[in-house]
Amino acid sequence: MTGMNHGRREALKKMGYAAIAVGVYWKAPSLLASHAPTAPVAVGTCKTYNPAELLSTLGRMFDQLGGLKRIVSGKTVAIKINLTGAPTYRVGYLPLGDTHYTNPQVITAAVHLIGKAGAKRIRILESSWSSAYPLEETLLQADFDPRQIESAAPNVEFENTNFLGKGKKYSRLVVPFGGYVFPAYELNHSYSDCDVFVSMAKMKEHETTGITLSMKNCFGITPCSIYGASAGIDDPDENPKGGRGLLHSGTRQPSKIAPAELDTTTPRQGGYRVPRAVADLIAARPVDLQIVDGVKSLSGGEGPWAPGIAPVQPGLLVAGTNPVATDTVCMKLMGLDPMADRGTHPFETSDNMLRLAEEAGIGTRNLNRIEVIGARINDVALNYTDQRRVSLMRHGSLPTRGIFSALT
Amino acid sequence: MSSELIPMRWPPQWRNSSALQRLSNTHINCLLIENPDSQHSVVEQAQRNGIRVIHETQLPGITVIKGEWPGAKLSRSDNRDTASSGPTGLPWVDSNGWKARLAAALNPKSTVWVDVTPRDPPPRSYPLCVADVAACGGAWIISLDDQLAAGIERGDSEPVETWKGLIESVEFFATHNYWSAYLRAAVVGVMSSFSGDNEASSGEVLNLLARTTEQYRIIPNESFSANSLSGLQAVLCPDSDPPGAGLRKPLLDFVQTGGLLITRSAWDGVPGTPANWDHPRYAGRVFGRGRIAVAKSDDAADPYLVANDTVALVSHRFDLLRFWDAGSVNAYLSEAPDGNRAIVQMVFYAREMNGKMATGGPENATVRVAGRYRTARLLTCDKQPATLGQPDDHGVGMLIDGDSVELHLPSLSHYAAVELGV
Repeated sequence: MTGMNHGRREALKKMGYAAIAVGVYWKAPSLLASHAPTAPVAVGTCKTYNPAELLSTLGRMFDQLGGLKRIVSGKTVAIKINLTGAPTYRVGYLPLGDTHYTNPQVITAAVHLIGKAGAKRIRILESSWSSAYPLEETLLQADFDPRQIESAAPNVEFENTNFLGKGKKYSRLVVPFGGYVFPAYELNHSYSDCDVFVSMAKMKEHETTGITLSMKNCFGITPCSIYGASAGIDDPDENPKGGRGLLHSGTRQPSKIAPAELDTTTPRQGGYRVPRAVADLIAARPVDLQIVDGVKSLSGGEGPWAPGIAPVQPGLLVAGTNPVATDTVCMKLMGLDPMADRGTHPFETSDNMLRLAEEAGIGTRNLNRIEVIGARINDVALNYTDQRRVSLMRHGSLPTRGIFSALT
Repeated sequence: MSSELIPMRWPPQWRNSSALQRLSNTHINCLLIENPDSQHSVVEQAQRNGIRVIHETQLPGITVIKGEWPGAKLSRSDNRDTASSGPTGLPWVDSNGWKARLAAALNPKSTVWVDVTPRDPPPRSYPLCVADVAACGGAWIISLDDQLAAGIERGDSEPVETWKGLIESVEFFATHNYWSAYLRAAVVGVMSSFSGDNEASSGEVLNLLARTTEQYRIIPNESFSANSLSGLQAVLCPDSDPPGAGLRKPLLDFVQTGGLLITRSAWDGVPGTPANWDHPRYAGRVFGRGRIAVAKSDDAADPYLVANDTVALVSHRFDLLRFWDAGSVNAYLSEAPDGNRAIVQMVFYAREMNGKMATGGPENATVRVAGRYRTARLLTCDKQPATLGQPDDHGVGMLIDGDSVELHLPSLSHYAAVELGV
């Protein structure tokens, strides 16, 4: 099956669902892609996690996007941060916020600015790895201080969305275009009990999907109680353990409380399924604001377990209001091609989730249609692949856990 | 080791008294000989060498407990080591440490020996067996499997190396026996009868709580004293029946002054007002400056849940030790009576490599220790002590961060200790 033919056929089918769902004219994917929404993306340089530097840089970027007040004033704002994997793993001796977790200072600065812009309530969300304990406990294990985040603005709360959590029931969020993998997802109430949804991601590559930015961060909104290794066949496991193997591999269906897959004959492969699930999820739970932490990060993979990783220091922050447009700019800043498709770097074994989202009409990946504000891409881009090579030369082998110590 | 006697079960294959030369220049000073009548020459020579020979039935002042061979449960699968896991998906670890600590708490005037018969153990795990018990203040009755004893007797190189590694570990703990005077730091007290219907479940709670590296104090109901709760953040009462009336007042006093009481069973008339908690298994009450968490049902009684719920209810905010990339580790923090020094002892049962578990210690563990320390010295059984200062080119060293220090450790084997100075 060729990616393009299959993708086109698949998108046509989905668009048919979308036409039924929203009562609009059916459009070919190419037409939808060319008309996919766009939005400005702000790029800021920020060399350190110094709070003053972060506040001024983020503040300027939000102003460049038209100001936070219009987005968050008087609203309940939910912020999905990125804490991938267990909080007990580091890359070498480096703090988690300097490699694969959203840095706590970035969270704190953004919370402060969102609060200052008049948010009624701010909820920090993440589905903690293999846990149903409070999110604050995961933060502490990572050596983050939740009190610092909590005190950055009035009415800040935390919720671990890996299970039912504080809600009385799960929220079913329907994929408006019909869905690539599932027609709807059962999520923790926090993703529907909010007026504004923010994806606060890390600027990283990903072993399975090539990249993980503001879109892929939303893969983690799925509760492992339903979509995880320990999920019950019929009912959710409210004490979830392990990862989202079933979403990756499709070896089984989620707990019956959630809608089953649309088509179980599709490839049972992470590179096929995960990008599609991501496109589903950002359609089902639109991302109103994206903040991508690229001050310090990781190349070659999403976490310490990925082979061939190396720490990088792009010194960048990116913000936008369309996740596809934002991730397109991020990819260019990482020295990657957002138009690349399966078989080409960084999508050697994966479909391009940006293409899938674009074809679903969520946003454009055509850089010519995206207004980039602030730093110029060519002036500040940092080629992740080259950075890994530099690391290779310095260390004699591709750094993995334990071989290197300090940021190169 | 708290005991002055360092015991070894004499291998029956070592029939010649010349084998006693293997013990010269070691701290092994006590032999358990199964049939002393048939080993006259060994017994006599041992006694001439100042080694005490005892029969297993003659152990005054010594509490002997049965143990199991320590280590992570690793099995061979597709030619790779894989771990048998517990309910978390983390590898299951057998350790005698908690048993030694419990025996010492129940028999405070007694020395604790742990009797573990090796049955086809991996040779490199002998030093682990020593450290697993010694780090908890007890002593393993050194016992060799038949193959190892015979190999040493023949002078085969691999068994002799295993013997040397074992002796290195024994010597290390004998040299540092002054640590037994240090006071164990604790965040949580585990209070139980540790007997009858509660014996198995409370023991398993101790075992699994150790796996979280939460620092705890064992408080048998019968030996409760005014000092039992001093310095603790929380007390866990895992027994199915509530503590007796005599213990109720000091426990509630502890709560009133800011402590957390976690109890499995509902007390009649638990004081305080309902707390605004969202916990699936515990109902919360506020009493004075503290809190009481009462299990809602027997669903909360599973020892794994009890241990992990306790850690979360207390909060990682109060962690005395916090690890990254340490693999399967049990760790113990204790402080010198003068408060100027502390020792972190770490026993490593398995490490993780590329997503698979393997025996041995970690490559690059980090441990955060709560406290204002300024110096750190790394001690292992097989290498010279090393100062941990500013991180070196490999990142190994110490970072001082206000009220805590972060220790970046080099590649380690089964055991390491870090001596901290203020």
